[in-house]
Amino acid sequence: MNFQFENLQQLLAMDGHGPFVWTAVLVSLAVMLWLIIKPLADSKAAQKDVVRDIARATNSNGEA
Amino acid sequence: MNWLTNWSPSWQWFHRLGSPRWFYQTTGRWLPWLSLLALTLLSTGLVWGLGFAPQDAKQGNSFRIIYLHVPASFLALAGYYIMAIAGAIGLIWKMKLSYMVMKSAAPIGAALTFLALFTGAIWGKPTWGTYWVWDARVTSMLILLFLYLGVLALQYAFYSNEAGNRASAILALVGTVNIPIIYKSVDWWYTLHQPATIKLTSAPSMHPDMFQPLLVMILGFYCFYTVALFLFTRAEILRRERKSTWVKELVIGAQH
Repeated sequence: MNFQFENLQQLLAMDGHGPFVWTAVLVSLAVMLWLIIKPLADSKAAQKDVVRDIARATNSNGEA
Repeated sequence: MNWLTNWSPSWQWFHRLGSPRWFYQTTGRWLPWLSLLALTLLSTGLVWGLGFAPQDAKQGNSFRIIYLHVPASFLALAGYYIMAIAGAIGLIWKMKLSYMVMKSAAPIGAALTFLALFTGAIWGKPTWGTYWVWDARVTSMLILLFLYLGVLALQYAFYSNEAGNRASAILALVGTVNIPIIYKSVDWWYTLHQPATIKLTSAPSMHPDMFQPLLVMILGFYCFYTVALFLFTRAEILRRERKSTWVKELVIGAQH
């Protein structure tokens, strides 16, 4: 098993197919990254809501 | 009624499986390992496929898009089964966790179907001379994308959560009719799309040097899919169970 390209330029160019291959790679990685970041951000937002609800409940208890 | 109580131990796993809290805790333990495995497989497969696999005799280097196109298409289809089965379990046993899994599978499936179409279009340009053709395989994949988006949209179309879940599940089940059409489209109709690269019933039509990195990528995508499904479902569990004691304790515990 050998590396198929002489240097970095050749790897990027891929005999003229580079723009197609690398666009596919970059868009795929971006979409996959979104699939990880989105639920983590949602989890964080949900936890923030819980903290806010608890704070609100203890505040109203204190006033009563 | 002694037989009923005797039955219960064997059903315990089923009820535990339906408990959002149990799911949250168990997947929390699995996630670090599964993420590590996914990352290792994907980076290995991608470097292997893009740099080390020999180029195709006819297509040259453009064929390397296969290392993203085929795994994304695989999981776009496998993910539909997961969504439809989760919807069916929700309909039959009224299991709320199952509906949460169904709802989580929809955006992931839509994203992967988009990737399958997008990488296919980019591969089509140097190979077929066009980004898009209205042929059977491509069109049935586009319908798959609309089915995923439909399930997602129905979740927000109803005031009641229960009605939204039921409507989504029914659309998901009806849509399964499209899956065998996608699989068979390359055999049933005259199409530009090449026939399946991998079949369970016969040896792969690819050289092992090209096939091995593809297998690594497919395994990596399966692991990645599981990680994403766990993460989306866990976020949904936190959102839906935010009034419950265990979520409150969990959040307070995490702050200290």
